[in-house]
Amino acid sequence: MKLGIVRLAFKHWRKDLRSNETKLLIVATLLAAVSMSMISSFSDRLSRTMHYRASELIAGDLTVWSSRAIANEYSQYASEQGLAVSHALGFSTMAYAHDELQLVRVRAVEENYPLKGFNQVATEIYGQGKLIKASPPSGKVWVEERILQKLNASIGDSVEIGNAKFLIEKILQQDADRSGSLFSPFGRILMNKSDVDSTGVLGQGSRIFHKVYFSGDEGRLNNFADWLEPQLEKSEKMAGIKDSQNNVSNALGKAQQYLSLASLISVLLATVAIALCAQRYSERHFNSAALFRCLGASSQFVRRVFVYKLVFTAFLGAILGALIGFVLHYLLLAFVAELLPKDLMAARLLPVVVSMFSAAMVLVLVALAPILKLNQVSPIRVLRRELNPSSVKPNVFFVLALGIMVSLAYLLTGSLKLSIIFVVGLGLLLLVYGVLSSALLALLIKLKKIFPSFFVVGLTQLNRHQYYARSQIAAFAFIFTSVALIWIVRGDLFDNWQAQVPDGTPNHFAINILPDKKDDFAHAMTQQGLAVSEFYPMVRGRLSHINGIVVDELFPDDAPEAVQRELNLTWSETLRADEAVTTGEWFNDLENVDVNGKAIHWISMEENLAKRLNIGLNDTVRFNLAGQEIETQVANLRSVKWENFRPNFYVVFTPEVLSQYHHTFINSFYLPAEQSKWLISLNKQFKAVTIIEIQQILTQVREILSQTSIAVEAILLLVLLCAMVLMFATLLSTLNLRKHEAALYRTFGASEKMLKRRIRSEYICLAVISSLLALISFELISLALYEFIFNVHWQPHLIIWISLPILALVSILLSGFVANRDVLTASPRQLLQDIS
Amino acid sequence: MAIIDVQHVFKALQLADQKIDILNGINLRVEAGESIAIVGKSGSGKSTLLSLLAGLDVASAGHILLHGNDLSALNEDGRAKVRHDHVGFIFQNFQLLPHLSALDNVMLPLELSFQADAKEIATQWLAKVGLAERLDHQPNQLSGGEQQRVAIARAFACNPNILFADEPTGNLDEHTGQSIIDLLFELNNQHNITLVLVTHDDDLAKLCKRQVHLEEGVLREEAVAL
Repeated sequence: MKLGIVRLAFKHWRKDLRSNETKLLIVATLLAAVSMSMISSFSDRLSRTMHYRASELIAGDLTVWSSRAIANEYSQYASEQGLAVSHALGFSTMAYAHDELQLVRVRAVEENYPLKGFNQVATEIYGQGKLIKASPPSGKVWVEERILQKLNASIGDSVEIGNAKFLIEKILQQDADRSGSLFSPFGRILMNKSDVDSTGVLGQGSRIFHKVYFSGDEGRLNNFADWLEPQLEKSEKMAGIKDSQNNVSNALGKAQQYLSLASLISVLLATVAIALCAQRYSERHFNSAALFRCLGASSQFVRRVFVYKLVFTAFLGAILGALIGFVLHYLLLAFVAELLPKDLMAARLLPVVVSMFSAAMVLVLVALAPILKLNQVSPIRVLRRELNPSSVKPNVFFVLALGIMVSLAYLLTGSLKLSIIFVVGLGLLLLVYGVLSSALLALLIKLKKIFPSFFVVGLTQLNRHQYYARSQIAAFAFIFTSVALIWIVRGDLFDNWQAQVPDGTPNHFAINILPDKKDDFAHAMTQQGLAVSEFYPMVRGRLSHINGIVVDELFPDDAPEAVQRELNLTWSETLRADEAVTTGEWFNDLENVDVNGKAIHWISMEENLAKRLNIGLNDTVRFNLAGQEIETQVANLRSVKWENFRPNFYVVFTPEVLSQYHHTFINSFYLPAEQSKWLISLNKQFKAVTIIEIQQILTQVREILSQTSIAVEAILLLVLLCAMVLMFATLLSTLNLRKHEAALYRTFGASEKMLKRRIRSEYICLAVISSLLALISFELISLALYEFIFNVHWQPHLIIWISLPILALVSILLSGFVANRDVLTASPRQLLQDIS
Repeated sequence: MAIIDVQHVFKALQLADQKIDILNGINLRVEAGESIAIVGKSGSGKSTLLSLLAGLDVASAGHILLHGNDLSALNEDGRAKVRHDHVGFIFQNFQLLPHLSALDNVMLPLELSFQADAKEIATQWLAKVGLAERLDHQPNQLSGGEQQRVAIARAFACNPNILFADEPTGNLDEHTGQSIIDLLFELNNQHNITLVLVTHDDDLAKLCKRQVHLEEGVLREEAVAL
């Protein structure tokens, strides 16, 4: 019996495929699925690949580290699971060569280090680096340039570490594990772990850093991480690449956020199109439903037939769309193939299946309320056409549809905040559009004397069909807002990214510049033809107490990294242009003494560090600066743009406090690659200065941005397609009404030209009103997006105020005349026949 | 036993604060195999009476027994089952589904009861009404007369006990109308189906064995011997 209904529904559905409503329903679902499938497949592979690339920065996929020895079971279990394991020890000690002593950081590694990524080594100072997947053999060490400079040593010389002597085999330009602080004043030596005992430096009480690297395929690694997490002691920390905050992940994060946002907008556009098409589909089937009832079908039968038809429509659109999206993601990847690593992560079916079901669910849930109206159609409608079914209370479906929209948004953006903002925002927006369009229409009608006559004709026409006019204005305003948003946000984000890493972005840092050498250093740079940027003072200090309590007591087991090491502190009279105070106020107007006349040393703290340390405004923070303690008070919290490749600081003091302490300066500068040899003479002239090269990181960020831009263009195209479908759906929703009117006008002798003029003036009014609403909402939403989501400075978009009304006019008129071509050319009899 | 038994039926419509009486105490018995015409001016309530007799609508008061089923005691789905089992319809505006072919339109009521040989039966009926060559044509590819033939084939295909026809020639020219009437009465005679016909055309009404006149919601009967 049930199979019979399914078969009957399928037969009718196949016949339905010829109708415009069904076609549009399928196209809207298809586009939603294409968008979701393409973007989620693309993002899935890109983020997994980026994850892989980024894992090259920590020399493994997963690391565990501790200041105590790490339990051996972890390594054992990992090996049993088929994961590669490598151990390392880190410690600070003195290196000795040519009668020179230098404090160095040693990383002692096993033969299979690095599990991921490469060590960058060279055979001459500031020479061309080479990436190699190897580690120093026993008896040999690889040493950073700055140590060699300090020790007056070079390749082939010996260096003593504790009781043992090692041959300097290579110059270490970049350690595969870059998780340590870039601005540590001490250079790094890489040695073989089997040589550590012979040095004898690791006596009791030595501060040793134990680290284990794990690497392997994704599934096994995830299982291992799940197993490992609950086993870890409090002193043991685990990190995958997703935990690492660096410039690369920041840039990638914003790019993915944009892609998701654009994808979400395309899905929302498609959803509104689905809702409109479903409404019209339902209305067009009132007669069929009435006939079914008249011929003896029960309401349950009618409901089943139409729901099955809906499910067929949903799955045809969703399956096709998900598959097309999957194919398109290959195309998208092909564009950026050269920029991606050779071992790109394999495509997975999961995003495709999830997209398919999500798109199908969107259609079913959004269209169910209007479709269920059909089983309420009275059979008497076969005799009296004017009897329409009462509306189905959409509460349940509304909640379900809202739920699925939030879930979808979450799936696409990964951010619940963003998802709720979007879905609730969309609902409110459509509601506001509805109310505003009525108000605006009423106002324009009142003022009609001041408008030209053709505009008044359109206004009167819209006013006559207020219900339809409202929904059309709302839909068009939504389309134009979405397109404008996606267009302008894209441009602004790109400009913003480009602004972060423009040509000439500093690719070197110079640290340890002594105050009396600062001017000479600047002079040397000027002579070399380099731009001289600001010198920031720097004092090293350890954060020891918060509100009078020692940090070790506050964080007995899991002290944040920032209180385990010395911080680079600076001072400044003014707030930097690229930073912003988020809580409190800058130093300018603050009293420097308390009520007892005691001096207050104000500081400004980076907001995320303050959050990690539970520090708020006016809390006291004590620093230890080379043995001297200084009590400070938090004046404000500050947001810092870590991704701008300039020296950034967690804590800023007022000048009068910190300048009394021993300090050096830090500077960043751009040096073209062909001038790199100049660094040798620079180092000779300024022996104390350490130069750190960050060209590689810069290049990586640039690559990611160019990859992303292609993806963004592709998704923009998809958004435009969805917008076009919604536009047609909107116009089709009033087609019957237009046909009816046109039939009457034609019967009364109206010419095609006259009909055209009426339709044109109506569409011009629609374009004017909807673009006005769109402009207002676009500016408000972009303001909110920039301020709260992207953290980008907002300003009004004049170009949109000019181009959007033109776009609205052209697109509404063009698609309007395409959708209405039958209305204009068909005979009255044909038109009336079509309606019936 | 009468196949249709109408007992003191009233129908009123409530429009805002105004009540409009459409049918005022209708009594009518129709025997099986009888043909009856309900005649009256526009607005006299003919179509309302037809919709009540066929169970498409419910009376405000009174009872209608259709093939022994008290329609006022049944819910919408119960009335649908009675229609499905016993009733066929022919409408003034044909009521064909525009996206279905002639064959599919005739198969529709048969498919509602999942009849395995729906296609064969529908094909035979279309042949009987002279449309054997037009099986795959959509309604908009057929003339008005042809569309009404499809509707007649659909009505007879499910072998009803009672056939309700609402102004079956109302949308057709005189010549076509006449051919449709001939076909309708020929098939009706062949299959001995009870025919209830609503029309304002006295000539058409006279073809029925019985005529009842509806004026201002009240029924007046005239016996007509053919």
